[in-house]
Amino acid sequence: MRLNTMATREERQFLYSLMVMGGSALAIADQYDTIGDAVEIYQNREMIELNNLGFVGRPLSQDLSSANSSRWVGQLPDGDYVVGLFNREEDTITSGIDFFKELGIKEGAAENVRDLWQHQDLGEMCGKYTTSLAPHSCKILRIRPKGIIRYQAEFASPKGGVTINMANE
Amino acid sequence: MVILVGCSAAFFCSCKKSCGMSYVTEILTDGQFSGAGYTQGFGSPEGELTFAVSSRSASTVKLTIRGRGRAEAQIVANGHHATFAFDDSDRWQEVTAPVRLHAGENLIAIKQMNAAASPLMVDYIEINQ
Repeated sequence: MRLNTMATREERQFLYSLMVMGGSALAIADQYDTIGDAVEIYQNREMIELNNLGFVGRPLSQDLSSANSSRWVGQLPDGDYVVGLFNREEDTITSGIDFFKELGIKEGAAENVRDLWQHQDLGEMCGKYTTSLAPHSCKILRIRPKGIIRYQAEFASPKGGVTINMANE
Repeated sequence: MVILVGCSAAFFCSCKKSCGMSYVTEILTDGQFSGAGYTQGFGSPEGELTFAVSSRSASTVKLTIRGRGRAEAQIVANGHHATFAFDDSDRWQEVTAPVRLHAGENLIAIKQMNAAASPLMVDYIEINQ
């Protein structure tokens, strides 16, 4: 990816986050003399950690006309959920995730929600998270569920004909 | 937590968490899957679903699988096998078994043992460490 071709910091975060959420290799194609401020984006250690852990998320819907295709989710081996909320529109939108209905967290109780671009713990939360997203911006959250760790089948690795049936498709 | 069992159609509970927030959330019923979806299509011999699970230490844990169908399923965790049976295709059921985990990352695979009239579906696994 070449982040120096993006117009704003938000767009750089957007592209980099999409690569991480999709489980892509993180290949830097910027040149040393043009990379500029994009260095900071590439060096987000919390995002790199997801890639190192082999994280691969998936959109809540593969129908590109659905707003759910802009919300990506997945799960790490330690049971934490990673949620990517993207705004690909030209207007500010409200986006979010329901901990119980969309992640399957028991009783919808999160021990901690962490913003991986702000590097900030948002603390314990219940029920759902909602936020306002500026045009072409995103929010990447790492959500630690409370209590017994549950691993959702839709975020595991299927093969040999096993398929994932997503409710929002 | 107060479970309002009188309202059988909704299965709601009112919770007040230590974070101080009061909210209403749904309780999972045996007719619905949890979260955003579930997996199916275990009918072929190669059909398999693999979970990557990390553990802080080597220990034996209680593994719960939520599934549906009339089928025998096999769990392979770090080379050790265990067999489960699901006997209802109309509702989700939980079955449990002890599983030995290594410290670090573990791979837990689920596959169907037999060609069943009602193939297996899997909703989640839970690890009680």
